[in-house]
Amino acid sequence: MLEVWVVKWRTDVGSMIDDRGSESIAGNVLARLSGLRLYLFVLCLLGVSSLASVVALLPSRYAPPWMHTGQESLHSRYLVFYVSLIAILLVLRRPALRYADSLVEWLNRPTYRQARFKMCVVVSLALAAYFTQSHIFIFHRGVNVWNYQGKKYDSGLDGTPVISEIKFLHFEKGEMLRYNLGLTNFSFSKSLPEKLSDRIRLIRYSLKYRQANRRFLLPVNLSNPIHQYYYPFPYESYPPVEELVGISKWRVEAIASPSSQVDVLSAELVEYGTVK
Amino acid sequence: MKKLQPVNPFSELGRTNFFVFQAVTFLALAYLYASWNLQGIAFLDPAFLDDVTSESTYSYWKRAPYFFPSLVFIYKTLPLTPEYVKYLQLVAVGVGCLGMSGVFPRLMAMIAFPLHVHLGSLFLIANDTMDASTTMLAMALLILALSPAPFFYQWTTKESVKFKEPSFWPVYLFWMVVAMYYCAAGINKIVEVGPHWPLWVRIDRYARWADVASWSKSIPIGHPVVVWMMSFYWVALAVSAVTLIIEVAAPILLFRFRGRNLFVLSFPLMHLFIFLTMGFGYTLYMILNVALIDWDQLLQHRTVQKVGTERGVDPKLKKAVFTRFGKRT
Repeated sequence: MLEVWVVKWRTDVGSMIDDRGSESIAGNVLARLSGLRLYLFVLCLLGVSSLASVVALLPSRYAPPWMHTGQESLHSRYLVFYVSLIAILLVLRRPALRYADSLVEWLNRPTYRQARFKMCVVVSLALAAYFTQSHIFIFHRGVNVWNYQGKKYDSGLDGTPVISEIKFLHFEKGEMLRYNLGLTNFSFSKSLPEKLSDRIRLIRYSLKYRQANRRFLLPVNLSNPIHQYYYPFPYESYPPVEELVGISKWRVEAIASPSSQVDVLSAELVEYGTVK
Repeated sequence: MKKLQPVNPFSELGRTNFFVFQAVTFLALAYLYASWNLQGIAFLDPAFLDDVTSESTYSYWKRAPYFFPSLVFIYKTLPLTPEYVKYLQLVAVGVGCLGMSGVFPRLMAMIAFPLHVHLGSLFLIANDTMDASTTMLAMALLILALSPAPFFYQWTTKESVKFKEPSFWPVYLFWMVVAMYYCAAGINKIVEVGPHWPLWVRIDRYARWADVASWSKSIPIGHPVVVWMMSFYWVALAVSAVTLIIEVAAPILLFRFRGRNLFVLSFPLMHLFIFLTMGFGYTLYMILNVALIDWDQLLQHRTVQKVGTERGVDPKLKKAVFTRFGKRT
């Protein structure tokens, strides 16, 4: 049975790659497409996505490896979405098939066949990436939803103390000046090197650029900000990087007043590393 | 309003759209890699490429379908140094500048696409997240790499006389991808929360919290006036509602709307207001959004109107200008 399929596949591919070149490959591939096949392809895609969502509802270790939702709790919502789309396609199968037929007819018109084929491939790729919830770098499922509902967004507003982790650079003459991840060009602290010595090397390297008022080639003010944008401290006015002697992280309890003054109530050293 | 018609991807109406698309895509590439500094990746423990379970790295990007095509696995054997990353970034900037200047542009697109995927994947393995506009840039580079060479403006070769294919379809394809991307973001909001998302997001709470966030979380505040405006519930609600409408209606705005050249400005405006409110800068999107304007229609329409419809205008051109929103061919 397998041999029959292999022979058939070879014959199919052989007939596509004939002496008429790539134009004929595109034409042959598109000629094999029909409205019904396109309709079934979309149904299968939605079916696979629904199944994947069901699997992802199980403990996360069973989640299909391509899924990139990052929010397990939402799989049930996406399952409802996919099943609704399948139901709509089944109920409205006649108009859907008519639309698929007209699309295939357009794709198979004799002019600009290669262009039509490329358009078909790129759009199919994007659709497949979206419906399977995968991130294939050139396309992904779109921006996640965020909100500002949590109590976190009330913290400190009514004069109550806020606890936060503040990072400092230490220089030879005793200066302690703030920095943040924006200096390192990483978005999350979990991305930073685990060894403190590596982290200091990274900070020294980045600080050299920032003291020249650049991240890489362009001035900081003109450059494209990193995704998780951080407050731009005036690193160019900090002492030279050669005078950097260490870094520290503090847990600070403070009150922010409306006049942007910060009253520090307590501070606890969490981490300190020196340059050897 | 007259009956809405689809945009024709093979309409013969000048080449300005493709030229703008070429210029802004290469500009975005050069700008991105001249701005960001990826050299910090070289300071990570080399095990970051192996340890799938490590908290310090994002395991998704180390799965075979992403790890191998992006060629990131080569750093398991080759040393990854800051200088090496720096040279790769310089190559990306150079390729962007050459492509933008019209020096072997198609070849530059064919180099730029895998290079961007490689550097982007390396950054994602180390850093978890990139701006969504870098994804859009990758798609734009792929579309450029798939476009026939005679479409590009270039200094190195003369235009092929025999090649008659209208150069609009890659731009059309880019519009389609952009429309899908914005629409996907809107649909995600409806699926994950519901159509009442604008009531739920509460940007006003963020705006009121911005002062505290700026020192405790080191998050930047946007423009003080815009942040102050957003701190009012009704303003924030209206802005959120407009955002959702723009996102969901993106395909209609881009393809089925006669005033599209005016309304595509809503995309960069949306990104500008996100920046002015929360400090998240989507500059790449704003650069790429320039290619969403139908420059050919805009310029030719003006020419036709200026010269007059009766004399001095090629009837074919006149027909093309007024049938951009015509039947698909």
